[in-house]
Amino acid sequence: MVDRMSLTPKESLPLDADAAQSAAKALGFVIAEPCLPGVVANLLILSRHAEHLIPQAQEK
Amino acid sequence: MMPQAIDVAADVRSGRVMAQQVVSHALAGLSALVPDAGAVTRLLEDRAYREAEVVDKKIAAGKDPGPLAGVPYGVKDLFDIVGLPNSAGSRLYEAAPAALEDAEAIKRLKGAGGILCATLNMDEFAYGFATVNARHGVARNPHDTDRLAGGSSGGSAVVVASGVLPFSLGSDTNGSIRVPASLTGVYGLKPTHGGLPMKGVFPFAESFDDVGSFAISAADMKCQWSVLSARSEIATDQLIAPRVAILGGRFLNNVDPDQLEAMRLIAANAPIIELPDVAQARSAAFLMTAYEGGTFHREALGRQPMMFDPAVRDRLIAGALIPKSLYERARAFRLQFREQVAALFAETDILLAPSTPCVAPLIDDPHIWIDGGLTPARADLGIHTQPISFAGLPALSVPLYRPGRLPLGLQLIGRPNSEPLLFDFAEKLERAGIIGVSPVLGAKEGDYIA
Repeated sequence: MVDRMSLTPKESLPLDADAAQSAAKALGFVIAEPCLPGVVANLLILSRHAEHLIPQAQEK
Repeated sequence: MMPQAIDVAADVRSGRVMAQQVVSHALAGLSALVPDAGAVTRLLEDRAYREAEVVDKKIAAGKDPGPLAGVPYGVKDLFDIVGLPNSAGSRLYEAAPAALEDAEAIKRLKGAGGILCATLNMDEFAYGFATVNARHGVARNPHDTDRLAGGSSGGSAVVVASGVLPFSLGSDTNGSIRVPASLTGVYGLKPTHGGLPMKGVFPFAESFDDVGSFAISAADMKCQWSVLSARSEIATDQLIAPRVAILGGRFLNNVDPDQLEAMRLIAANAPIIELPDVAQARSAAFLMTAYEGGTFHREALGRQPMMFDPAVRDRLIAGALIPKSLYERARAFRLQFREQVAALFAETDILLAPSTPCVAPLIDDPHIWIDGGLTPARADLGIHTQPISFAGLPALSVPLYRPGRLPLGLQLIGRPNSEPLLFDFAEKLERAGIIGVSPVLGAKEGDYIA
């Protein structure tokens, strides 16, 4: 059986505008409003790569 | 077309032509490209003539200016050039303080007699495989100007493919030399990671950044690498018959039939081997690059976001938001991946793989097919180069010889520090007529000898 472990909360990316803005503020900057849609679109791409990387399917 | 660099240098060293004549010819060619090609960001006429004068004076005095005597070249717009700001292709740094000295790579080329003539277009901060730049425009492919030249070192590829300069410098983080080399039909080298000097080069993602050159022959590439790596002698023919293998899996699932046929021609009975976890490697490289790029620019992204190229800005902001723990996981995976790849070289000397999965996409429809789906060219043209960068291996993109058709390249990939073997192998393939630069339709032999 193949089990797919998920990313831990600490390793998850913010995937909507509010979460992205909060994450940015925690890092000390603010995302300009016009940038938010493009940022979220890119976060979704990064999220797919993160799921691809972590973890790989593991045999149980 | 400008002859290959070693022939230009031979003419200059023999006194058959003066460096100033060569430079004049090159600058005229570059000027003609300025309006439409999207390749040149600055012409460095005064500097070029000064450097040419020094070369000519040395020859008149009976001294040897070096193996690149009087050879004109250009650099991607992210190398420090004394007296000029290094903008890395961005409006953000156009008024930055001038560099106090040249980048180390430029110093070495100058020491070998090379003449710096221009700075060249790129994706802003080298983030992209397209060379679509909000400030300097789109680098157009000289083989079909409706198509992308590729990136991020697109301007460097265009000036060489157009026959205006015999070589140029670029940088390659995830494929930014090999992708445009493939799409414009010239040679492009990503050296062993850390093998060539990065001092004075604007960083993108330091885990992967390298400098390298574009050239029109394997012999030229060998000469440039020798100068840039400060090696006075390069062992040749290290192996009479290198063991060649073809990378399978995702590499062969996304390949042009002509690339496949060429690989079969190069090594008819070569085994097909799998690069382990190649898709994960690409994803890890994608994440690490985004994190390092985003982190580097984080302060400016908060302060002056509208000064960035929008297509780059949003990617960088997203990268800045990657949790550090995720980045560290990608780094840990890299160590494991590199060990696995190193093991492959126990029984192989050269790996063959496509440089790009397809010919140059149209500028008005910048998408490509990957794994059966349509994806953005700007992010995904490097699907075959990114895993090689992740492994830190040297890779020489060589152009398939196919006059009259859109260019395509193959990667010759070696173990670390095996560049001389790659150059020698490429020279053999040139002699066999499998690879070589196919002139742009309508290009004329340039006569720089008055």
